[in-house]
Amino acid sequence: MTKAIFYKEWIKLRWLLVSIATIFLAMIPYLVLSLQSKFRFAGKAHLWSVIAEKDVNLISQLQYLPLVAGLILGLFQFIPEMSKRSLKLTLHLPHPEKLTIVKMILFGLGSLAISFLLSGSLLFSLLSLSLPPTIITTWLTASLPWYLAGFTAYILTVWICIEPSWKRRLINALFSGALLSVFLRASGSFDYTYATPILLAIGLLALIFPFYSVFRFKEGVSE
Amino acid sequence: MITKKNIQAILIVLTTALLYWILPWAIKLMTNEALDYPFTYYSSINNQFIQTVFDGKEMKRVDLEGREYNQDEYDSIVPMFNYRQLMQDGRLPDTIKGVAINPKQIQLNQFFFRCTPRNYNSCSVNLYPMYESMSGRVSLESPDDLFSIDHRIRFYEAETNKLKQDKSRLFQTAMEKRGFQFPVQWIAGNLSARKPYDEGWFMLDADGQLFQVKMVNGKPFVKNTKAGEKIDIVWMKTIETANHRLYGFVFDRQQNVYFLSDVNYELVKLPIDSFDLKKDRMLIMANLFYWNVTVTRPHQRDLYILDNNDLNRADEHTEFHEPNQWEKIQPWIFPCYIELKSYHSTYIFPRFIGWSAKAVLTNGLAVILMIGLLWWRKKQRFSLIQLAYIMLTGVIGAIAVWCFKEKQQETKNIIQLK
Repeated sequence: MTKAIFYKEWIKLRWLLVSIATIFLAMIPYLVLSLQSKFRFAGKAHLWSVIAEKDVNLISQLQYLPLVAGLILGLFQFIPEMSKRSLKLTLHLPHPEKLTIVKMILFGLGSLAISFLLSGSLLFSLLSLSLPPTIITTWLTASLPWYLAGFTAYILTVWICIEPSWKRRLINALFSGALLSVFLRASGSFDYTYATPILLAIGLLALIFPFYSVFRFKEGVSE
Repeated sequence: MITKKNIQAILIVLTTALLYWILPWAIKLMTNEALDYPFTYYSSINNQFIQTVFDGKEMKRVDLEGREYNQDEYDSIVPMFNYRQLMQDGRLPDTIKGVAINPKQIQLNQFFFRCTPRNYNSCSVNLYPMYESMSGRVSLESPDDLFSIDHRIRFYEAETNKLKQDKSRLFQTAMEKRGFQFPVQWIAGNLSARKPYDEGWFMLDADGQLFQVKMVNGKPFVKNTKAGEKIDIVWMKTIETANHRLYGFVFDRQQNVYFLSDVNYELVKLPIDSFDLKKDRMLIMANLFYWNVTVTRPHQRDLYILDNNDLNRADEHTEFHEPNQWEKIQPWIFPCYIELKSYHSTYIFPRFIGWSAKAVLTNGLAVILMIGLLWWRKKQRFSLIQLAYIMLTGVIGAIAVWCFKEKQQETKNIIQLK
């Protein structure tokens, strides 16, 4: 059944996943070329000094990308389930309901993780050719909350989509907006030094929220 | 156990926390005002504090006895702060307090030093330039490498992004030879090349000893300042002064402030009351006669006037902070509130502040009234646990409970998920 669920999700989302992966991979040459261009204009030593002195993060354009990816993936995965009432059928499959939802979410999270890991490791490997380990570590640490925001945005979008009542969807959306804004308030690379474990805990806690909507859906809550 | 009630409880608690952050933030945004302390400088002519106050219409310059001065009078009685204006007007006196003065001498003795809790409660990229301290040039030249330091000191060449083995080893050996114990605790200095001169870096080693490390004629210069033997150093902020009188200000665990003199690294204690690095901010405006030391604490501002020669306290003045709109209303509305960002730190994390018993009382009354009304109109019913939660968290808790409250018809068919 696991294979069948993953295959169903793959058929539904394959083009979107290819698009997300393409955008993430396309950002890599852009960021690397932009860095090389800055090196040519300012000189490597000067740019290193500026990065150290002013805490400049030259990959900050990536900040909202994981969040948008998570949001779009959640919408594309679960809006069809709700609009075509497929979720009702899905939950009637001869398979534990919780596990069905878990596997659907795992597919989404796994897809995001593959995109993030592939693009992230490639980007940082390329950057490490022209930047010292200390800058790479700093930027990697600074980008962790962005990726966590991507995963959390996906889970919260799933929660909002499955919710059967529009009034509650609005409340869920406001709650999600406020919660996600906590992930993206940093202006310096070290601002989230102490908060990253808290953000991770929030992301893990959010994993159970979609089940709240599933409970309500199963109870037949409607407008 | 993932049950509907458990998830609902988590959602209510998280919503309460978010509201305890967002609502106070919004109210503060609507009511925030500038800090009300006026700019104050000590007159070396009549030995009085002179304040520049904006009364809503115009700037007024007054002393603490209420005497008002016009702009020209102000320039004359605060000559150390306005010497360039006095020079332009041809009014710079020849002598003050019997001391013959000239612009060069004023400039040599003048410096400004600012220290905020954000300077202390922050972190920077572990990458620093090691300037040539004796280049013989007027302006400093940026090196082609930068170093990082933790358990070792490593120099990286920017052009090739390669570790400079020889230079790294040279500095590592020199530091170890001088008794530097790795790993370094912190490093203080000025990264900028736009400084009048370079004194390298001050580093606190694993044993709490303060070392000066710089590069002189391409070779490492490492010296133990011995300051760590006299005091328990917490932090240091460096400064470059025109007269090279000091390296920087050193703060110890007992909340004392010292300056590190350029004469044998002598530590000179500032005669001010305790200084809390985590909360207090300091501004020093030094001139030929006095150091104007302003320490702004959470609820008051202390001004200390120190004699420039012997650093004895010559005068002092304390002003108390008038609570702003937010500080007046918060204790009555919120039993506490959450701040993610702080004026005292660059780090973002939830801080529970502003604890107030008054708000528990007012919230309790408001909640009783609200629940009574809803009960009477039979619109909402709350369980005992929910009531206790609302009593504890106030109106914000009530909003959170209302947001995730299930209607009767919504829960009549309880379905267990398999």
